[in-house]
Amino acid sequence: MRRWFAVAAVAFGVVAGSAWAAGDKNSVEGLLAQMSEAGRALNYRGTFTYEYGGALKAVRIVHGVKNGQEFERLVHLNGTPREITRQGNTVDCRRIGDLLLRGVAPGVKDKIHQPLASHYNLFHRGEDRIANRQITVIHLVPRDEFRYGYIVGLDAQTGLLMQLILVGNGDRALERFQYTNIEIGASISDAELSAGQPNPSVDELDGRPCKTSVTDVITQVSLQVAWRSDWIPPGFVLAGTDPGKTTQSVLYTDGLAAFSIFVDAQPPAGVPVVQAQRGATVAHMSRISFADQPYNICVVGEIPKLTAQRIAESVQLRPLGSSND
Amino acid sequence: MSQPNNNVRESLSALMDGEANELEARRVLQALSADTQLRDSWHRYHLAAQAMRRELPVQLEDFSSQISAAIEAEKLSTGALSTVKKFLSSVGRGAIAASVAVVAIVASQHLYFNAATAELGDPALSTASSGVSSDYRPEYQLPAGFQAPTVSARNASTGSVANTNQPRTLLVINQPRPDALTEQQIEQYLNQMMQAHTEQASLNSSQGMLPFARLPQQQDGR
Repeated sequence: MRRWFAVAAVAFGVVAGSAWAAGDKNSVEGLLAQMSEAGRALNYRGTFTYEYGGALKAVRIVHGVKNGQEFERLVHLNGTPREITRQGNTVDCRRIGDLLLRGVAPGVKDKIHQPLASHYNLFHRGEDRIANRQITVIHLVPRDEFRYGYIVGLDAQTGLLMQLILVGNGDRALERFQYTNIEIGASISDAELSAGQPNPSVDELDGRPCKTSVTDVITQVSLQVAWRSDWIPPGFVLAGTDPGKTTQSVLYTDGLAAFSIFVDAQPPAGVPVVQAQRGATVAHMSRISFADQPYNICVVGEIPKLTAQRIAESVQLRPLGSSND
Repeated sequence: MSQPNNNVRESLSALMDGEANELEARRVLQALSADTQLRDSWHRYHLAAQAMRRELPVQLEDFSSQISAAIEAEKLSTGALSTVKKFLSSVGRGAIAASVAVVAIVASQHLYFNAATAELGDPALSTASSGVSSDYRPEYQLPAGFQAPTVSARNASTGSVANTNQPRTLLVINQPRPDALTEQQIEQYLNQMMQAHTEQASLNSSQGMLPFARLPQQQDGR
């Protein structure tokens, strides 16, 4: 009798919980859509911290919009001096990741897009304060074991991403981004956006052409082999390709998580099977040979290591010109 | 099981939890190379740990169906057999059941180890493990501290991660190290990939430039 009561109570809890989640879902998805928009369209300058495995880095970020174009500069404040500048993306350039967050992904080839909510349970977790601003906290709990969970703190006023925590197995935080101070809506001068002068390490990234859909097939010619992974975790869609001369890569994202598959046709001699982890980023590297040639397969991403391993093990090489689906 | 062997086993378990000191680690590794039984234990501990973390591939984890399939197969063949054979087959079943029990015991022992270390609070980890919420209810905010990832802490070949203040990329090398490449070279190679991934991810995901904070710096962990 008591047992039945317990079962009924649990059942009621599940029904009530899912009803609540369903009622809440739309607004949470709305907030996530706003987040992807705010990160591109707003002017802001601030400092955020990045924590993983007990280490803490501070990074200064400046983001400005001029004539409809994004300008960004990132300065690592500790360790080896390092700067990253980026410019040239148009503000209205929505990438696959943005589209997935908005619940649409037109032009994603051969994939029936399933919205974020079919891979994460979305919860609204109330309000908090970060960098002296009110934020809204959203918790994304993965529905399967192929991806991590996220706790996302969004500026209540503008929707800007203020905090991002990756949550691994057993609710452990794997890494955390969090602003310590930020000024939103300030006017940003050109000087702030150009790299500091005598700096040993500055990476300048050009804006690549804005593509909202991926239709181009990877050029396999340079590798002399065709390849693909026979297994991709559900919900991930092809978001970018980088056909290099000796190493080709493809990027998949589900809107939040992302991973890349690299195929290196000229790996350094003697690379063993390696798994590596840094913060939430894992890498699984293995080697397969095809037509007496060694190829290195490497999967890198913010995904659980078993997911990375499974993806890497599913990579198939085929003779060039054979059907590649 | 002799007493020294038990000690080694304890050290082995400590090593898996990333809590063995350097001496212990060395001793275990040495013992591992000589002792096949110990190697089996190492394998079993990992299997149990993975089962608990639900990281086993489906076909491994679902041993109940394999057992019932095995029993089913035996039933077919024992149709008209002598009592001796019947007795033997039931012993076989018993053995399967016993092996399941062993797995269960190993698993619960392991759980105990984890619980014990969490309670005792290893000094290096005490800042990290406090207050991690164990459910998804109201506490959305995970604590300021971060635990070193279990995966790597267990397998890291370069000493205990928990004892260093500057975590580095953790490498798990699954086959005998070739002479051609040092760990550092492998790490460099990996860093290239991580950088390429970061660039692509920041262009195509919705987190803007944040992924660039992940990029390893040359002095990290050195």
